[in-house]
Amino acid sequence: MTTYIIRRVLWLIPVVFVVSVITFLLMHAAPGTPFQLNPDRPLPPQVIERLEDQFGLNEPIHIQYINWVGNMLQGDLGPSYRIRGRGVSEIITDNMWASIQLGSMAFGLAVILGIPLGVIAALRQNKWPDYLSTFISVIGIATPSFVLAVLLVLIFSVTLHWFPTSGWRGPEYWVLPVTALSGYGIAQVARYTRASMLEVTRRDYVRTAQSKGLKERSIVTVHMLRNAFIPVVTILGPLLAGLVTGSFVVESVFAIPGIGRFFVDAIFQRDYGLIMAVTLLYAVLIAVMNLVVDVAYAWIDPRIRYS
Amino acid sequence: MAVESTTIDRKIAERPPASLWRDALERLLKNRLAILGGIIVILFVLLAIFGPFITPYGYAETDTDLIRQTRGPANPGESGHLLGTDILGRDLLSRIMDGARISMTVALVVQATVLLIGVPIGALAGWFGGRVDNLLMRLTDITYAFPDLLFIILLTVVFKDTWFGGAVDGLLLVFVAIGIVSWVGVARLVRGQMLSLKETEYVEAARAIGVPDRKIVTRHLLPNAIGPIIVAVTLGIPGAILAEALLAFIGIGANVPRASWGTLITEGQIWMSSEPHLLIFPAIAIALALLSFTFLGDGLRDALDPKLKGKQ
Repeated sequence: MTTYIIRRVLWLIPVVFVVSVITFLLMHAAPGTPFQLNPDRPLPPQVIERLEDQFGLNEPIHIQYINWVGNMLQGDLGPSYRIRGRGVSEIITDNMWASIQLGSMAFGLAVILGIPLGVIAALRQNKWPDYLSTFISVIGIATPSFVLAVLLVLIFSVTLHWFPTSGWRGPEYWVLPVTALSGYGIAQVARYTRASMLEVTRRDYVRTAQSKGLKERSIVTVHMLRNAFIPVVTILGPLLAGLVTGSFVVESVFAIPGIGRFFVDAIFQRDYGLIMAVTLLYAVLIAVMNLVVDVAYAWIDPRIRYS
Repeated sequence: MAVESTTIDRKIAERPPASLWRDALERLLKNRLAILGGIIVILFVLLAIFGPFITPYGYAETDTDLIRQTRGPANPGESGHLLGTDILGRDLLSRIMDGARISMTVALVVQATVLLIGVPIGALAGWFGGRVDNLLMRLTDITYAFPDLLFIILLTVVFKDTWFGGAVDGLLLVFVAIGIVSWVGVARLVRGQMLSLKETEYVEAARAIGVPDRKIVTRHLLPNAIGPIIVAVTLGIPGAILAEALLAFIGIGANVPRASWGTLITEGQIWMSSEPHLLIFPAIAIALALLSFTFLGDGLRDALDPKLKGKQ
């Protein structure tokens, strides 16, 4: 297991390398540089040249890449070309927390609500708890996070005035964004949990437990839940990745000071350092979370052996 | 030898459709949700094809009389606009129909791209195994590691000013970009199918009588893997529609005045307190499309997966 984890972590190095090279090439292939994007107020050519000299943008592209890698390995992600006077590392560290809070709360909510919904639906199949759970799943699948975000603002902020429309200053600000981001996750977790609980119900060991006269509660908790979770764990990886990328739309709807909102702007403004930093951050995050999910998978199901 | 193998192959090709398909169709028809999903999908496809001929208004056409009289949008049902108009007096129903056209094209183009990349990569990896497999699977791992939405945005920005970026009102680029990041699932699925089907007796038999590799893959392996591929493609459609709507929502996508459902929702968001219909109807359209494809895909999976036979 330890060797497996080490191998997976080492595998991150080539992945990050390839992702960074492709991103670097693509963003430099995009027409325009950070200093010549405003056609109404073009900078004088001499100024542009001086700026490009100063930031090393006149060097051949492979030299620029090597410079970037060298600086990054020393912990320097470079300056932001568009947000004056601020370094990329500073922008990332200042805005990371809101994104992390939003993402982890949404993931937590998806698991905490989704699993019980699925379990209850399976135990009361074709009764009202099942229908309620199915109804919630249907809503969750049918409304993408940005639509849910806008609808929640319309209902709970604009009409009912229960929650603020934007910002990230305290628990009352968290409710709507977290709900919007986790809606799809709740639905998926509930659907998978329900299906795999129903599958487990038909297993021989559950029938044996029933015929031994065990109480329903202990059959469910001891025999069914752990086995039912195994397929559910497999969707948590893709779900987490979806939350990470989905969060930037939710951040923009609720004007949350997170990292996501910088990404789109950074691309349009050719803010090279920021594009690289955000892409790599997300790539590493997704890879690490997938590793965590795979390890959790082996831990919950001892039959799985990684080598 | 070669002559014999082709006659055998021809005989297989001329045989009536395997009963698995008739079985699957019967199971599918018993699934009410899947039927409902299928009907809505067909309706959307018909709307996408014939929408412009049904509506009396163009999606970009402004009802100038209305704007002159009322100085504002029509509510649903007013002045001959079933779902009302937007702020500029454009018929909302016509715009939603054009949005259906965009979303259904997304479904088609993205999934075609996914098949074009995913099936060959999965088939090659699964069939040859060894080094080829290793190389191709590392490629899929790296594609999977890319934060997909960010990659799509980057691609669309880079190629925006090329001829490809301008094709189909700027949409073709968006579709293909979504396809380029979405093929990993299908590639892994096809590879898995290849690996297990490769060991079956009929493949061994085909190999023993000297059927060439390429023919075994295209005649025996792929047709047998087609059920799971259909399911994966159908279930991938909601994701593709969603990705396009999300990009349109943040301003990447169709050039104005064309509007995808995502664009309509962005516009609806601006006026939501005074004109909620501009937000609600496009939201319903997206919801219906996502649900119907999900239900149809789930139904197809249950129908095509013989392991589930007899349950429920």
